[in-house]
Amino acid sequence: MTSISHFGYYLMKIRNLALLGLICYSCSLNAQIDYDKYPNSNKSLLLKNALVVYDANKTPTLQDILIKKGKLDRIASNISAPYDAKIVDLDSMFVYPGFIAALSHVGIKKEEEKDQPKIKFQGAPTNKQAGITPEKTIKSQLDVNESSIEKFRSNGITTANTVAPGKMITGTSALVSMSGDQTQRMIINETTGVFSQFKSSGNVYPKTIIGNMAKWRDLYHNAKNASNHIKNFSTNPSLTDRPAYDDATTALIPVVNNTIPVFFKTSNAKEMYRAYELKKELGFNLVFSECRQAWFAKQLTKNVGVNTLLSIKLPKEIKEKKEEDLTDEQKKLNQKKKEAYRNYLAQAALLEKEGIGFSFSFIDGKVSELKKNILKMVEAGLSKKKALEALSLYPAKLLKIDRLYGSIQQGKYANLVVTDNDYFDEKSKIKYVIVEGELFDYSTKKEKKSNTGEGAIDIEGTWDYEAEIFGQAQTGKVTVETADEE
Amino acid sequence: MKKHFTIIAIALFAVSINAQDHGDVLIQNGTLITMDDGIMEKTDLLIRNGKIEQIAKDIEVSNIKTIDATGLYVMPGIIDAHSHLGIDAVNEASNPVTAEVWVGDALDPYDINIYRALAGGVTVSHAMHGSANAIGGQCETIKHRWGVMDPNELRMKDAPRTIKFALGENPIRVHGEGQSIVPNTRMGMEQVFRQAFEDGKKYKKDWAEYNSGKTTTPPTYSLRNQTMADIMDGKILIHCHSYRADEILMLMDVLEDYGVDQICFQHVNEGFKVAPELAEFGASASVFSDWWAYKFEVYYSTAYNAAILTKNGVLTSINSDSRELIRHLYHEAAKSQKYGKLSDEEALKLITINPAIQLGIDDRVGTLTKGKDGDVAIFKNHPLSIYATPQYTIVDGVIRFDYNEDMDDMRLDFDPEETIPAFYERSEGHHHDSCLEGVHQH
Repeated sequence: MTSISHFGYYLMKIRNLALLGLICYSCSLNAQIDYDKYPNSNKSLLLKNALVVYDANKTPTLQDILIKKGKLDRIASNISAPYDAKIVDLDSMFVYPGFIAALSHVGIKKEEEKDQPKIKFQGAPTNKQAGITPEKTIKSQLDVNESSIEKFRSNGITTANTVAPGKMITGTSALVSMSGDQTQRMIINETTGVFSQFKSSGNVYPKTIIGNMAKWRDLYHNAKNASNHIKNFSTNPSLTDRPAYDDATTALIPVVNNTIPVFFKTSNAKEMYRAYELKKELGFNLVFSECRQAWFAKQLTKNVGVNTLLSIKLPKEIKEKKEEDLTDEQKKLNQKKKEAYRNYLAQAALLEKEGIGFSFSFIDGKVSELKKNILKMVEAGLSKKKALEALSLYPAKLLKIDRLYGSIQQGKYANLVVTDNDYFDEKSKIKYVIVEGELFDYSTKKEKKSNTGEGAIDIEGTWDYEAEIFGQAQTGKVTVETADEE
Repeated sequence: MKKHFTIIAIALFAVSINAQDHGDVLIQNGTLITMDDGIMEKTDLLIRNGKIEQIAKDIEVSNIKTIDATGLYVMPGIIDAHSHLGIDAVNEASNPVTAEVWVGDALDPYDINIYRALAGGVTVSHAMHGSANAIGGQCETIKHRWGVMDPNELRMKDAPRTIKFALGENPIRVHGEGQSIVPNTRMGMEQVFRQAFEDGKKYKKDWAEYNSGKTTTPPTYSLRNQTMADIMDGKILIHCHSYRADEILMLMDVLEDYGVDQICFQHVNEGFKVAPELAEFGASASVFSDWWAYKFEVYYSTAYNAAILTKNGVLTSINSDSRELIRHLYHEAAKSQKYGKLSDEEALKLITINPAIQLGIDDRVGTLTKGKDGDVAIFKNHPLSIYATPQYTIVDGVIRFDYNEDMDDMRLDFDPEETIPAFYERSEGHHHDSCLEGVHQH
């Protein structure tokens, strides 16, 4: 008997296959041994006849794109293919810079919920019990096989700033690339900020928003004092006590020294003002994150120069009963609700009008609704140009990676989104996503469904196998790809 | 379609950011109840740039918003020394001492109850921490500037810092019964206060030693202990939730030991028993007109409390502690005339200058005086009459409530996904103690 565990795109699917079929599958489905560990490292990729979108308000340019060693080597018309290049004829498909999620929980494995010992006294929990874990980096929880990575990538996200979910201060965020097959190789920058939210720690201090704000002050001042104490100790160890080590305090020292920002989840206007009060009082670098009511706090976003990330989540439009069934009071209420709904949709448009830069965060929204919601924002007045920038160049600048990411430019990483038509056209579909030169093909997605029918087994991907041949155990990896139908 | 969306959104925007925080208005020919200079018939009151500029007959100014107050009563904006409106959190009920928390961090300018209070002529309220903890947290004196979007604009700038203390059943129930810790008895309550003050003293000393170079390791920063030190330094006024006379005396003893002399006892239902002692200490009292028996320690009460305290020389106010009572505090004040025969002026002081003194803001509000803030309530019929109805409520010269412009739904922040009006979700009356808001009942 042989068991093969699937390590491909779909982590959740673990299946058993018989050894007998293995060789046959290899022949018919063009499987190959996975010796090519890092597909983006050496091969060239030539995209022919691409409509390259530099500015989504303008007509795209028909060009070829040559990708070498994961970077954009040349962008010009009629590039002749190098000998080792894989050629993909895009036949006038649209090519956009790869999208950057400025803040998300992508790729983070869910922590197993252990039964926590009941805390007897709520008033003085440890930082960990209170959900204050700035020291938590994504390294222990990031997993290249986590299903959200494929969800993000198939919706055009090529790079993401990601952080563990949790309570008050969940952890330190890192910048990751949506590619590769090794978790560690995904990480571009392991420390981009800490993530905080006005979330109750549950049944222990701080339970409320007022406790949360007070706790921030204590944490910040103690980190600041610790930072000074460490400096004094290093210059004159004999004159002062050895600084006491503390996880949270140590992790917050870069915040105190303004080397990394605090991504503060500020879903509503009040939270924006509150986070800003803390910033003003304490002095850390703030990024308003997951904003849904920035239009309420326009003066704040405009005047204080705080970077702003808007939520990709939009409210649902509630279908009401027929007007004639409603009382006057209900009609008036409906009118107000409709106005509120439009304000939520027009948030991005208003910031654009005010000349306020912004990007998007993916904390509460579903990445599968990204395009649907971007189109709603565009319908409410956001320009396509700004929408695209908010998904590419602006977050690249915010995360200080714009020298290598964020736009289609020679020398930058080949992070691209290819759509069969204008992305901002309701019916267009993402056909390819290229992450640092690695090609992800979504062009056959639909056909596959119609060809295979219900109950068909999806065997595409990289598999670990364990085989017993003549009593000897052997292990290895196989990659299974479906043959190109054309 | 696209254009349609944009235009509406921008129109709303304009409304929201044009909400001014001070204005000009001329109130003509009213009956002024000044609270410091008697009643003035057929007199004008001019507010400019948010301040009372002139009180006289026939003031002549042009190009100004005017209110014809002929036949109406013009009084200082009503002040509520105890409420919990305009804030998103009331109790950080995890520890018996949370002096570091501050409800000013959780201001909610979109709370419809602010508008509701304006409809009762209330222009200033004391947004307080709840009574779950012995030392609950710092409070915020807010101005009812309904329409502002920035929570900071609710603050009454330069009002003194205040902090909520609580005695009796609430902290004992939450912490003693709830968590099996001190305080589990009224004896324990006293020790919680003493310990907190001792911690504050030690903290101050530790930092002084570090700053003078005597020690080399910085003490752990604690906003809690710093706040206790600030109280002892006279920087924060105490407002203490209290009912029983014995505990009131206990706390005054504790405060005396730590050199603290500024305290206003809140509720203080048994205040009538210790009125001379309160007067001697210089403590003030903020009471209900006639509300009691909602828990065991509140049975021994009387509607004559406000009158007895007043007659014994205790500075007294009447408060609401309720989003509903705050709408008719003038009526609550009038009850002191039935129960205790206070004069009109004495009764109205209970909701104007007296609470202003208790909050340390009497130099700015509480009377109709030249130079004070333009906070005015205008009534049809005398405010102590059962027929009184507020017509206009003005905060810093801006009309925030106008009886004739009072529309069905005055909320500012609409949830586009709400299915029923949020207002009706919480029908509330005086069923339980709003000081325990946010605490699970044990």
